[in-house]
Amino acid sequence: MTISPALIYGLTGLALFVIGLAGLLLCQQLLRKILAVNVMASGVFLFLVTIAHGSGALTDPVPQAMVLTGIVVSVSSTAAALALLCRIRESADHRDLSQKKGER
Amino acid sequence: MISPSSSWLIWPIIAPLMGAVLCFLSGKPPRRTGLFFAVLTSGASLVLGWQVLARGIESYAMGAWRPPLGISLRADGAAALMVTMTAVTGLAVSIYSGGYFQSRLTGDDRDRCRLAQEQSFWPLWLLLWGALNGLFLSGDVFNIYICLELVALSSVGLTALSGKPPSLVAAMRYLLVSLLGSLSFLLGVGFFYKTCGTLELAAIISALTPTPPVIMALALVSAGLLLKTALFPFHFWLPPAHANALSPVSAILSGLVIKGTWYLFYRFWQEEILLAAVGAVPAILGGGAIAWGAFQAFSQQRLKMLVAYSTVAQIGYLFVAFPLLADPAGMGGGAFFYFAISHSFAKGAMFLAAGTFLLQMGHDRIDDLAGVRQLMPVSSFAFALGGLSLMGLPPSGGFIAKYLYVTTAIGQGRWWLALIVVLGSGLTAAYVFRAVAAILSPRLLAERPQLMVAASMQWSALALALMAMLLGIIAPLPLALMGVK
Amino acid sequence: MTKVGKERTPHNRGWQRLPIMALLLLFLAALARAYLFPGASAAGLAARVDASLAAGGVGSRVTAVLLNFRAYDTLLECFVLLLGVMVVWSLWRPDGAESREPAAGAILASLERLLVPLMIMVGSYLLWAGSDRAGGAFQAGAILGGAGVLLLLDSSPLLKVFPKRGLVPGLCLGPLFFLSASIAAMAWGGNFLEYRSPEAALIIIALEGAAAFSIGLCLAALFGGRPPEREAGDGRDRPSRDRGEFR
Repeated sequence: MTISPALIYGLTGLALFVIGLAGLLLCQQLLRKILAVNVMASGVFLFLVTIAHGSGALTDPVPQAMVLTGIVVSVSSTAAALALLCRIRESADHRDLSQKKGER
Repeated sequence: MISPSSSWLIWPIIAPLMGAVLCFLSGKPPRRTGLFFAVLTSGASLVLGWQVLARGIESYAMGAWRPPLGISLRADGAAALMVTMTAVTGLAVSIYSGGYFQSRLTGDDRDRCRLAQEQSFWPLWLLLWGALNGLFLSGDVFNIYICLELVALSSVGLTALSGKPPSLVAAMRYLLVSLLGSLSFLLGVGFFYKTCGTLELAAIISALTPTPPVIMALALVSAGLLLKTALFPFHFWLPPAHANALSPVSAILSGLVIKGTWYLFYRFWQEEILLAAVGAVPAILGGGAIAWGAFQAFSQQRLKMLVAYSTVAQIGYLFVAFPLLADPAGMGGGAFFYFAISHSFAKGAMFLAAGTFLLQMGHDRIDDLAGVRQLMPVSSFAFALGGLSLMGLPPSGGFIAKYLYVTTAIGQGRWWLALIVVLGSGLTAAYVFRAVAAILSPRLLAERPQLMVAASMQWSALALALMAMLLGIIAPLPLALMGVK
Repeated sequence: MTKVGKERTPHNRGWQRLPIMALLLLFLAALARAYLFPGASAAGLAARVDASLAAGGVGSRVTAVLLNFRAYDTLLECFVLLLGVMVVWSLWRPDGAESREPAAGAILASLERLLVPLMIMVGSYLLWAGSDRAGGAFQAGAILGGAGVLLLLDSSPLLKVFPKRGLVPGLCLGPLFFLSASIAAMAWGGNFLEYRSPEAALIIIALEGAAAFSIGLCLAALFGGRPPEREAGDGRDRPSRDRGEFR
């Protein structure tokens, strides 16, 4: 197996997915968790783009369309998450998911 | 365009989506529009169920492009059953919500906030309904991903609607878990596309082979779905989210949303080869869920928390029977779906009834609910009936489901499974009795306060509980629908 | 996933993370193995897309997939954006703390005057270009949304051009038009979402226009984060705040 750019992109995408997962699991602050989910999403999108270039000479438009759709979905859910975060901070001083007030 | 002979497959999806946009456009809380589209959607769903029963599997090519290039919708017996279930529970919840939002108006300055809640509720709920139907009927894995996101985002919006800090925190946790689940699902879809070259669900399932990429794809998809279904030990986010939401929302989340991802899990795992190899994994997790959920439910102080933990336990039943599916001749599949439907009705009824207590008494502490029977006999009866169905007493739907479980398990020589189901029923009885004993206690209230709860709320809860009971009597009908493969 | 309760000092957190890190590394290795597994790539749908492109009505393959072959996905996606706005608006409270400071300034104002017309032009070009090369409704919508965000940054007077009452109908325009056109296709004897040549190109351009407009507006509304004042909803006696609002 030769090392092609597609291969590197694919592995990078998978690595980003795992890095985002680590952030989601290990970070305490909500904003970081939201950003971590975005890193995961970018990893998946990069992986999908790689698949589009992976097989044969033709680029496959279907995964590209999937990425476009996925980005829009991710924008929407990130906006919802941020609005929820603002609301949580307004209502109490929760910046992480623990039930205690003013922990940090 | 719409005739009895043409396929009604798309209308259970399009009608609520259209309704959601129109409700969103409305300047006032769109109660009438919302109820109108709820009736329309249930009607279309019931027609679809009847069509599948009468004519067999329905399929529809969106834009007339056949898969693998296009997206097709497909309704077999299982899908039609889920859509019908959603129609019944959804209609009851919609009627309840109309009364609920009306009854909460007290004429003071907090009404503004309550009206704003209702204004957001109807479009979110109709969108959620459409997305759920889309999930059940879709034949394309990427399309399923979008439906999953629609379901998740609208559920989160509904969860946060009550605006209290615990429900906001629960909504946040729910959103993060959902996003993690969806992304895991999407990465799995990527692996499937890479190895199979198609996004069509049926083609992917028939091409499952034990190679590392396919195993990884299936693992990612399954993990994502299990997280979203809140199977033990992924259940941590569920009880606070379900218990702290507005009451109609709790019924929607526990009765319907959980079933969407569970149904998908079933779709991916119905292959016999797979079940023979690792079918015990969901069964063991399911057993854990039954025990842990029941234990937690028993030790709760608040009624809605008890009902929410009961959902954790009942999800266990939805998974414990996966090994039974390995024998295609058995009734494993029928038992499965029977359980899902009767849980949807019973749990919906219990949350709706609990909502009437909460609204009337201003709290839902189990120990202080004594005397509520005298004030609201209809919803007390509904709660008790729902509880009986959960426990699996005849003639309820829960009884038929558990009967099918046990006979199939014994027929296949899986005694341990039958034992789990029977023991689980005992645990269910314990926590249901604890709640029902408080609600039906003969103690009288010191003074009789004015009834704030609209009659439509109590009666819609009772209707749903009676449906759960009726399921035991009309058993051949759903089983015949389930048999359409 | 989330630690509830206990306070953790940075010290003991370090080694508590190690097992999770190790598990994640193992997971990454499994992912990489699955990805690099030899001979596991299927052909994909590129050839099929090319074979049907003539009937699809547009020259660009990605646009054909998005707006024709898999138009149902795109329809639902418009709903995801609208849903995002619904959720963000449902979370907004009139008594919430106003946290965003306006980034007003002469530089921003002149930048707006320069960039916004340019962005609208580039957006329209991308919309048009989408029919036979890279571009399309989402790209155009993203640029339009960017223009909206720029204007919202200092609640520019240019926003007055857009009537406040038109916001909600504007957000719904794309999804509603998409749905109605697809149902209309059924009235003419086709399937839901069926557009075939020769009218396909025209319908797709119209759909894309409506979708791009609504997508741009949705993105800006997601940034704005606050619903227009409603008749029956949150009240009129609230002290008027101008920042971050569509006017």
